[in-house]
Amino acid sequence: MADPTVRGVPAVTLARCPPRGRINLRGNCADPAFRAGVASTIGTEPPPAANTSRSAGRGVILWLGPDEWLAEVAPAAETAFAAALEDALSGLHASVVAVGDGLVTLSLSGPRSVDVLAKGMTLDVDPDRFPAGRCARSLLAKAPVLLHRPGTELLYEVTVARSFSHYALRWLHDAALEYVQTL
Amino acid sequence: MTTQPYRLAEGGIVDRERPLTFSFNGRRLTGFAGDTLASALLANGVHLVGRSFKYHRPRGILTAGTEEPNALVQLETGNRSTPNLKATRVELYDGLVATSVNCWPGVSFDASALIDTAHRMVPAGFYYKTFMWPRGGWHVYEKLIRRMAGMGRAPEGPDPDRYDRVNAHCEVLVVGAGPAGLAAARAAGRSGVRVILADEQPRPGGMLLNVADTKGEPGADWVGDTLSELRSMPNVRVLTRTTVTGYFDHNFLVAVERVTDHLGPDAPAHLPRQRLWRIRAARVVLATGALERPLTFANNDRPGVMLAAAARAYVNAFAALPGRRAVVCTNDDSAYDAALDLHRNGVEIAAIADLRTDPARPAAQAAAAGLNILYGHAVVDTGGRRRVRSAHVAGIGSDGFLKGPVRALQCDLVLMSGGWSPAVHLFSQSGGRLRYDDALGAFLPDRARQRVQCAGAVNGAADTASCILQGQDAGSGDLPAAASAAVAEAGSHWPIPARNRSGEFRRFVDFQNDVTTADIALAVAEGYQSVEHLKRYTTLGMGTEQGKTGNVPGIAVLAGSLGAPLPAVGTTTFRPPYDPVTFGAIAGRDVGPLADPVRETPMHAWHVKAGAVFEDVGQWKRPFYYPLAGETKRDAVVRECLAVRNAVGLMDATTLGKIVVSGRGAVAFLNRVYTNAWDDLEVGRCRYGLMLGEDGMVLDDGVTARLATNQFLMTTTTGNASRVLAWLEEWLQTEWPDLDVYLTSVTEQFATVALAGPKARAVLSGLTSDIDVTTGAFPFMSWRSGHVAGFPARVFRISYSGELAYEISVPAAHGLNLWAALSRQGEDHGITPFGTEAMHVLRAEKGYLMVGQETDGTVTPIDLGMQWILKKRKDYIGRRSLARSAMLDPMRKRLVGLRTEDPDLVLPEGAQILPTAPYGPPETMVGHVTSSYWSGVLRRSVALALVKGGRDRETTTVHVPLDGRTARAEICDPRFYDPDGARLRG
Repeated sequence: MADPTVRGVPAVTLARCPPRGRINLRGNCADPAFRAGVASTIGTEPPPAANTSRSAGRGVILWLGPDEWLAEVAPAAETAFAAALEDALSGLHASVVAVGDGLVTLSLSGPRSVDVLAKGMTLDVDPDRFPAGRCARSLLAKAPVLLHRPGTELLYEVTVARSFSHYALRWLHDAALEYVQTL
Repeated sequence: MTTQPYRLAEGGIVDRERPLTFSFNGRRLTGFAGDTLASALLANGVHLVGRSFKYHRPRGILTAGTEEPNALVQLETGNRSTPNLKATRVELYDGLVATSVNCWPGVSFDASALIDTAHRMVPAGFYYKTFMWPRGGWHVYEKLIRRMAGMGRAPEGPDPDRYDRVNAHCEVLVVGAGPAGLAAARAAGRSGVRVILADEQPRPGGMLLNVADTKGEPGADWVGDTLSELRSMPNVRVLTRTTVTGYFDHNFLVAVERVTDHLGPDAPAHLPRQRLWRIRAARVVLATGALERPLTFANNDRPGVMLAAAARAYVNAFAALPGRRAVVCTNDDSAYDAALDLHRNGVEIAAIADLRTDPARPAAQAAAAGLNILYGHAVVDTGGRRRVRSAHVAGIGSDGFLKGPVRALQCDLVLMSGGWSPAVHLFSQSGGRLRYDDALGAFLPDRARQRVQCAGAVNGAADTASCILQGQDAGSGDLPAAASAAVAEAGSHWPIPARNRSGEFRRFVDFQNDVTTADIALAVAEGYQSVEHLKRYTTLGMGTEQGKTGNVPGIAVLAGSLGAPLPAVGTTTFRPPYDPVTFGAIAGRDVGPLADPVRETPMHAWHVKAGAVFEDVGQWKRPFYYPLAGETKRDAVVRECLAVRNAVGLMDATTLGKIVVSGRGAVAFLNRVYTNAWDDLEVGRCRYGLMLGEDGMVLDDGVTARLATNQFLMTTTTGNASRVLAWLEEWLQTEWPDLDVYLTSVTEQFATVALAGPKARAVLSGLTSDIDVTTGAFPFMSWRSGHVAGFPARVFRISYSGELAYEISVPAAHGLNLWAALSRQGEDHGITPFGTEAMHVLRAEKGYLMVGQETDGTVTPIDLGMQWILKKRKDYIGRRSLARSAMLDPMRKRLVGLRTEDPDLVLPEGAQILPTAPYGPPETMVGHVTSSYWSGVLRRSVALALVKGGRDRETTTVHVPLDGRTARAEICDPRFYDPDGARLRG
């Protein structure tokens, strides 16, 4: 494969994203009341398709499982969104748990980001196979992660449990070393 | 400037402008960029490069590739040293240091070579025979054999190089970049799908690199054109120096890329030395080529005896002459091309002995060049010691015996070609079936089990044009056209008859393991008739070479000994790896600090600053204790414990597993997974629960709080957090889908600090204004929400120390600040951070169970004296198992306390407990110590133990054998401190 490094563009950029508000959502997506309750709060229904995300003005909802989603919102609004969702979903079999403090998101971008991820993930993260709006739970090396490609640019978000964040950062930094050095 | 006497003045791929100096067995020699170590040695006239494994016979360079059995070297010294590398594949770099393996003091004079003169004493399987007779002899031989056998030496220090591992996905993986592989990759690449082309050589081209004159056929130009087209395709990745070593199920293949091996120790430090590729391919094209086979004539192993195609490669690709005067012995056509190329470059061809009387393709060119061709002849013996000096040629009759006189021809090179074996290793690993082709005299790929196609020489194609055609077909996904020509016409004359039956005429089949035709005959005579048994008994096809050259000749000799047709004998199983893989490549970057995740709590930095000694609990780092200057571990732990008993301590309890259980079915769910009842737990209250496996054994424990009518917060032990969540999800999803319950892990969401000791309330009350901490308002086993130090918090009044205690949970981001606020607030009260060891001591003083310490998967709640927690009128996981009569046996091991007679003696955990003083083995053992500590508050040791009969034996004295003496201890109540629990309710 032709060397994708472009002079002037960092081969890989690794960053720790600012804190986010996050709400773990459980419920029955086949129930219109559940979908409507979520949409009325976050601004979009939870994506029913596996391994996809949906964004709205107020936040992004990532599919985690057939009855589980992760809503990402502004950190200051986490408590308010959680309370609003509780209200909107009251009476339904649903669960709303704020988890923003327990997760850390790292971002990996640049032409070599795919190569760095491929060192630790068995998923096919080729930009064509992992398009914008795709998300997946998997392992990065030995850390459980949630991988998300929020947009069309070559940028991947790696969300890990807080206690794994040092390990994941260190691991990614070490994986990127050979590309960073060549520039 | 060259001082390389066997180097041609021109030609080849070596760069004469870039001379490289290297050292071989201490000799300083010069080669050129582009050389392998083997080609550089040959250019310097060095043929003696190693000693054989068993007989320590002098050995030279047999091949020009991965299949090399003889020329193994130890590369470099110190921690970077790598044993058993093939000189034929080590690329030369400046300053390279290599030594021969398997010889002492040196390759020219090897003391162990004496064994060769006594070879009759060590026939096939001799070491198995030493097991049998004389009795006990093995213990003597073993040390000798171990010292003499074995090849290179493993380095003793840590590997200084970096390694890497990477996953790759593609639609088409092409293995081998010879004509077939290049054509396949090009055809697949043009279709736009993702293609990976992997080849083990430094440069693509395969056999075409070794051919001097292609006479209008595709050659170096074709390789160059194809390669530049491949490199222009963004969907094609060309991996050179990359050996595909394993082919597993689901088209998952493993390859090793030698990224910087060719640069030596001066390679850039940021690059990995090797990279392990884990490739998942929708489709695989194997263009792995074919390997030339040796012939089995007497003394066919002397340095200077070489495969014909290897000699051709050295002359054409490396411009290195392997000799000046050669005798060629062959049973196929390809050796003629080799002879002609050597002849053209000034090597005198003394004779070509062709085993065939009437070759299908007469060697007209060779005859025209005036070469002396002897049909129906063979080399039947060689002379020389450290280098071949002569070849003995004789006619072979149709009866298979010698015919006519034996003529000795002086030479310094013997070329042999026993036909070609398609490199079916990966195809076979993939689960594909092989078939024996009589016309080709070779095993060929037959039925595939996965999405894989073979193309080129591995499929039996012999000429470049048909290789390219097959590659194009396979690359496009079509069935490759049938091979237009045979690989070789071979299969006869295994072995070539010797001059007489003397053992001095050993004919080697497996060069690396010193397996001869006589060894195979002996094994057959001793009853080892299956090819798999033969392999184990004689070591045929073992070692780093794995029978790449000797497999088919060995099978042919076995078939001959058995009088069976060759296909009926079959091959041994081809197993990965095709070529040895370094441990470094397998480990990748999962070494040192990245060997395993280190999980840290939000307060970790504080603990580090406080000088904590850490303990690994699962992947977590937890403070073990916080030694002050000059303190021993015991001093520190006693100080921490006394602080909790007398004042107040704080501990980082963040690592405990935390699960939110919510939904209408939450109570029913808890009733089923815990042994006690949960219906009556009020919101705002907590309860201790014990979880059992289906076998009734204790699985986990923890406190669960009712957050709301249909919402609970469950805690688990640190080490079991993810296991318990998975276990509970499994029950929910597979057994109780009707229960409306959702589980959400919040272990990481909260930082938790345990505040314990008589002054805990005073500290907490100073930091909260919205939680009433008085006993009446906030009793034991309840929880409140509010703010602590300004942070939103849940405070649980629970205790694992037996003291007044609170666990304060705040969102993780505030953990460090909460900890700091509590430390400041508690200063006047003598607040002391305590670690897991103090926690263990405090709970053991109270006789509290520690899952994983008192339990080991064989302990029931009854064994722990916890019948009180088993609710009779409901069902729960493990209940029926507890009703089995064996579970109620009073003689099961049960939890007790142990009070040592000597109060200063701290028993070792795990120590066995005897009912009487020891009388000599076998002793009667009635139990073992599970926890044992020095108790500062009691000024004596305390121990918990599991003992048969349990507390029925209270006040009985038991005996604990220690190193050299026996301690006496009394069985007692495990609650050593405050047995009534007055302190924790205060």
